[in-house]
Formats: sequence, structure tokens, C-alpha cells
Amino acid sequence: MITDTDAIDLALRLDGNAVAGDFQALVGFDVTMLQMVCTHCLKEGIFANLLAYVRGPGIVLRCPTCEGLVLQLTKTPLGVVVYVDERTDRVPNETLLNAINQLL
Amino acid sequence: MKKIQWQIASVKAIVQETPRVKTFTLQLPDWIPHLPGQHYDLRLTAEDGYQAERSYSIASPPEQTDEIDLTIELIDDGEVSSYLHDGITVGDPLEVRGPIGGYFVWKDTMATEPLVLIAGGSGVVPLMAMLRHRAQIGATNPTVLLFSVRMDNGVIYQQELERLAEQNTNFRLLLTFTRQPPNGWTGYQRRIDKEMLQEVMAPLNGQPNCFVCGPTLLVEQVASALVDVGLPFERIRTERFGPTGT
Repeated sequence: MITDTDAIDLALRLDGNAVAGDFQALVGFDVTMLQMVCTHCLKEGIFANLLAYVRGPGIVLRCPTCEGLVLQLTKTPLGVVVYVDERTDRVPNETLLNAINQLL
Repeated sequence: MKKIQWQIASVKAIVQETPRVKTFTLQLPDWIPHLPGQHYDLRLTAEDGYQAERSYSIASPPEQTDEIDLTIELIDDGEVSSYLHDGITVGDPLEVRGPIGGYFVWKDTMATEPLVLIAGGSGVVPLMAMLRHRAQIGATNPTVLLFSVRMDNGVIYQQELERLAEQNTNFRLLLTFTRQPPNGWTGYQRRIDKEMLQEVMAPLNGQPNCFVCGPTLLVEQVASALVDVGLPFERIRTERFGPTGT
């Protein structure tokens, strides 16, 4: 069923390119060509092709295949909170995870 | 790679491209050569500390040094674009960071391969940087721009695009008008579809590099139509602009 909310979500959907600046500022390198793995459907792709929702309090990145949650980034007055799914039984998104872990 | 920082640019010139689109030339204290297709983030800060950020594609080629052109469409109810269109004049400071992005870029190593550029509305901006750079380096690879606009007065960079097409026989400019074509128009008058893409790509030998930029729905429909006409997924690069008042 397509509701109005679905239509708005669809129209507001950007991609990884749109949030590359925030991530580059965070980890210090361009992330758009990074290989990413969706921990839900295990489909591999690159960061630039993730679906990005940017109009909320944070940035939400979803898998373009199954729309599962891949990454969240929220800026707060005290800093930046990043969530990456890092279940070790599945291939993690190592480069980005390592870079983020080094910042913590 | 150099870590990008926010910097204060100075607005050097403003050009009205169409009734709803302006190009802002920004003088940068720390200009870094960019690749055609990259973008800058722009940040506005209100007196109470509220901040709004948007990313805008670079329209100028890397040959234009020490400054960048950002071509920005006025979005209905757009808090950033309406401030830029109505509240900014030459000499004003603007906070930006970039260049950003390594995916949606046309690299010089692609300069011998056929190129298909597909734009909806202000999605033409990063593609213009590619076309300007292509002209600067004298590339002669078969290239086509398929540009979907709503009406006659919506063709951003129209004169320059027509001049590029006249000067270089290997570059074709194809317009399609989705609402109101100019008087006497005999070209395409519909949204980009599979048949149109087949016709546009038929004269090209080999598999082209394809860049698609525009509103989200256009990009997703065109990308899937390109796959339908047989272009491999790896050859298609997309950038979604979100809502643009369509």
C-alpha cells in the first residue's frame, strides 16, 4: 500500500553521495567507493549507492536491495554518534568500522 | 587525501540562469582541485545557533582555479535555497567544505570511452562540470547529454550547451520537455523512457559510461530502464537530488 508517508519518504530518499561530506569530515577520507555489506540480506555494494534519509535528527543509511539498516549517524551537541551493524558472524564493513573505532 | 575543513568563501558573482536557478561563483581561500561530478557542502548558521546543511554539485571545471561555481535551484519552502536566492549578494561570506565524493566523477581515464549523461532539472549541474572539463582537455569521445526539463525556460546553461554541441561534432545535446515545449518543438516531449534511451544510445559503439543525476524518482526510473536496455550495472553511476518541486 502506498500511503502519503511512503510517497514523502520516497521523494526524500537521497543516496550515499549526499552524506559523504559528513563521513569524510568524521573519518578523514572519501567513503563513497567503500565496499559495504548489508548485514540483513548480505548483498555487497558501495557506500555511494546506499539509500540515505537525511531530513531527520540524524542520517539513516539503508541497503538499496532490502532497505535494511546499515548505518546511522547522529550529531549531538557533545559529538557524533555512529551506529554500524558489526555482528561478527557476518562480514563487517571493516574499513569504515576501523576508522570509526580509531576515533573512539 | 587532505582532510576537508569548513572554510569561509566569498560570493564573487551571481548569475541568473533560469527564472528559478542561479549560479553562485565562490572565491575560496583554500581551493582544492576537484574532479568533475564532485560536490561541496554548504552550511548556514542562524543567530540562535541553528544550522542547516545541504550539498551542491560543482558546475565549474577544475581548470577554473581558486573559485567554484555552484548552480542552485530555488526549491519551494526550501530553507537553504530560498535564503541563497533571496538573501545573498556579491561580497557575502558563505561557509562551505569540499570537494567531496569519489563515486559520481568522470575521470580522465574515461575520456576515450563513449559517455552518456542523463539529467533531470538541476541534475545537469555535475554533468556540466564534466562537459566543461571534457571541452578543456579536448576529448573527442562520443558524448550525449539527454536533458529532461519541464518547460521552455527551464533549460539551464542552454546557450553554452548549444555552443558546445555546435563546436564539437562528437557531442550531441538532446532535450525532452515534460510539460510545455517551446513553440514549434519537434523533439522529445515526454519523460525519459526505455525507447528514448534505446534511440539515444544506438549510435554509440561500445558500452558507454553513464551518469544519471536528477530528482530521486527520475534517477531510479532511468537507472532501471538503462539496465533494461542492456547496460551493465557497473557502467551506471547515479546521484539522487531528492525533491525539486516537480
